[in-house]
Amino acid sequence: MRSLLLIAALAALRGPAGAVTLREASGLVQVRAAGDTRWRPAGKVPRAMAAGDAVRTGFDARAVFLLDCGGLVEAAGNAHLLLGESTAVSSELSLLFGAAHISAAGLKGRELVVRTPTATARARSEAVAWTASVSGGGNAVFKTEKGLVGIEDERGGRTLLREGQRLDSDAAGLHEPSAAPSPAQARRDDFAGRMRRELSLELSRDEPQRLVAGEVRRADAESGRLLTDASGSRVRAEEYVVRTAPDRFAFVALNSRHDAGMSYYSWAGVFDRALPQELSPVFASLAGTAGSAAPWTLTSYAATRATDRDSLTERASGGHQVDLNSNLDPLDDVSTLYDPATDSYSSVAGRPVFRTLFDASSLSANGTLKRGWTGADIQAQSEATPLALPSFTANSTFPDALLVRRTDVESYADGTLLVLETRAVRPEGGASLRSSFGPAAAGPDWAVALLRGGFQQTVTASEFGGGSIQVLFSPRILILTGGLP
Amino acid sequence: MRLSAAFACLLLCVPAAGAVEWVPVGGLSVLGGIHSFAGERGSLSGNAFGSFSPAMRLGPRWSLLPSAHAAYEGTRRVNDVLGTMTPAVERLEGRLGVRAVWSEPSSRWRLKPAIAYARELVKETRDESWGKGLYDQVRWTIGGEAEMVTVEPHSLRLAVDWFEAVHPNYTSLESQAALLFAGQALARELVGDKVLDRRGWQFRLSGDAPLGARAAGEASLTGVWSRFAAQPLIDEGGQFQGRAREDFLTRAVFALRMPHEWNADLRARAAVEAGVTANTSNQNGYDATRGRFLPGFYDFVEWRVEPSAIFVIGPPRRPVTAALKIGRRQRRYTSRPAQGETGAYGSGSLTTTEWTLGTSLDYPMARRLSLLFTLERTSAESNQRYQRYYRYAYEATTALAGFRWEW
Repeated sequence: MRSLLLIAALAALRGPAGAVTLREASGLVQVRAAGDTRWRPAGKVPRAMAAGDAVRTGFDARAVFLLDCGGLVEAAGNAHLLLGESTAVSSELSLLFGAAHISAAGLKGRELVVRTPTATARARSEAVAWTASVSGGGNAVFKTEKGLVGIEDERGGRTLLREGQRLDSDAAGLHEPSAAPSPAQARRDDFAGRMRRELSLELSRDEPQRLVAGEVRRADAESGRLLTDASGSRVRAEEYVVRTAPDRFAFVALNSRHDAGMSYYSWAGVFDRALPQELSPVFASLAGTAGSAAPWTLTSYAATRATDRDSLTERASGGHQVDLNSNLDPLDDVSTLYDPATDSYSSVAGRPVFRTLFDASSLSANGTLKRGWTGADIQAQSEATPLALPSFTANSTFPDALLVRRTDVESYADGTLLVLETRAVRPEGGASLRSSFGPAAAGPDWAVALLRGGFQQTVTASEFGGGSIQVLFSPRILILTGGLP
Repeated sequence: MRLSAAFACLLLCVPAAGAVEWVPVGGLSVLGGIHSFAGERGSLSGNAFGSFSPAMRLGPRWSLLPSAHAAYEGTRRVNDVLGTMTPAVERLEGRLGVRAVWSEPSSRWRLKPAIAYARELVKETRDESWGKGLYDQVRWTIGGEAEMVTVEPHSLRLAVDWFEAVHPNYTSLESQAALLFAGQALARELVGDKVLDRRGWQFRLSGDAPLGARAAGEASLTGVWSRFAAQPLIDEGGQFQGRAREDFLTRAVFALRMPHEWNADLRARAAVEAGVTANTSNQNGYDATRGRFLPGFYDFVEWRVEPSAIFVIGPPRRPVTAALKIGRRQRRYTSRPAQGETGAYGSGSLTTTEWTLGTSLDYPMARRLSLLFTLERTSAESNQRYQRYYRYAYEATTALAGFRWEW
């Protein structure tokens, strides 16, 4: 009988379960009733809540709960809580995310419990106040403002948090309690955290610009505007076509070296009629045409290699197309013809092949005429008459067996020299090795092999007084115009 | 008199300055290492990055973030512009910026006007000296960002900036030739000089949000519109038109991150990042050795996917972090044809594919000090066989070790 009375007394003391009251709600506060799946607005307050109800708050919102045990819980914005059993002797809730302030003035032995994913906090004094905040991964921070708070984790770790102390908990358990920062320090830490994030965002503003700058640099390199020469020095290069009149164009290859200034190779041609805007068929016809004559005839040209001090210029005029395979000179017959579209030579033996022959030609170094010829409507190069100038002997050698370096020396009777050095250059700089280049030293194989890598020509002449002209450019224009040694 | 006035102003400012609360924030990382490219091993060098800001709280709403950032890169990274045939690149960058942050405590909006000045010095060859590099750049950026906090700590951000990027040492050779070889027909009409200088606008829309209970997502969309005022367009005949080059570069990135916990001392975060970058330009190319017009020379689309896994080992406050990632990047120049070994044009578009494997280790030594180790290797291949100017197929490795200090 006594036992029954005791049970009845205890039951009366516990009171009805789930009598938590939502006293205040500002901003977006939503409730998901126990067993329900939908979140609904909290509605009018005060409002009675039941065990199992979940509450969440939106940005800058606030929700205040009065617990049966006399405790007060203030949830800040962006918080998520799950209410547990609450009676006159014990109140319990779970803070799943966000921050809350928990306080009680006179517990008189009643229990006040706040659970987080990684630790549980219990009031251990009559009057108590603390904050709990839960972040990503369930990590929690507890700070005691008043009284004593007992903290325990799921691994059996326990500690008593005194006034002014803070404690972190995470999946590894409880950390050592430390002195909680003062409000000023906490505000400073919070400010520093936000500013670190702002600094990171600020520095990331430059990322799009770095991306564009990288693309600009890459496109410049891909376009061949940055080369490395045979001696390993950086060379800036530009190749383009200049059209000053409908019947003419000039190919220009410009070089600039840090230590040697600018140099260039240009080939400027004048034709007998206006050229199409798209020049690729004109370029293709420069090497000659098989079957029939090209629709336009190159009447004169000037090919120049120069620096701001020295120049070597080759000029020709009186150009006219001749079928070399049908003329009287059997020695000038053409058996293969270069096609710039495919960079290959195709057989034209036995077919009419038209090439341009010139009635006048000259080569001069710094304005001094070195050699040349004249003629009148010549039908074969052998018909041309050399100019009356000091005679010369020409000699071609490959002085270095390991490297692709060809030297063409013209020794004149007046004691002067004209030296043209041709080198194949590796893309990363330095002269190409003969082992990777192949054995070709002349003819179509030599020309095609030169197209694969860099190409550098250096001209020295007695007239330059020790100077030289170095140009790094595509040998294709020389192959087309017959200028490749 | 002027000195007295300045001094008086300074005295007047002292009380105001006293009311300002400031906190220093920043970081420093120093890494030494080696980079090898296409079998050529570079010398031992290093990278260093540092940033500092005396962040100031001016009041309940306004904060000010003046910042200084400096970087030195002596070791190329595998995500740099490789293939340029340059054996070594040294880069030095200095940046000064001021960012104001307005944030009303009761509002979910944050507004951040900002201005920044950056100077980048690049040394690509031994004969270049600091300040004389061809690709040195001076950059101004003025704009701001609006941020809307969705669910703390997640937010949505929109940044818009006007910019000017100037290359003080880059002048087109053609414009120089027009002056140096006066009388020769070496330059085209309308030729420009500072052809890489650009001005324009950039925007970036980015945000992050939780995706269900176990994952989080990040996404960003970036656009950069650049106008190269001194770079006229090239027409079919290889000549200049009156209009200037304009580019629009777009990048969209999405990342999905998923944490997992085996036990308290071993956690991981798997992630997959996918992105697309596209550039469209009204500029064309011209192959002067063939007289061939190359429309849309600068247009490309690049797809990237990068799965990664980060393992966090040890206590959460000071864990050892090990990361492993593998990336694939494929770029297709939509209008640029691939070339054969001698430069002859084929029929297909130029395409490059790059695989990258990277691993890193972050070992905490003290509260704000960590040791860092990174190893990256990339392998690139392409249908472009003509590699006289730029290497499209290569293998590169970068190994770095050093420390990071944050405060």
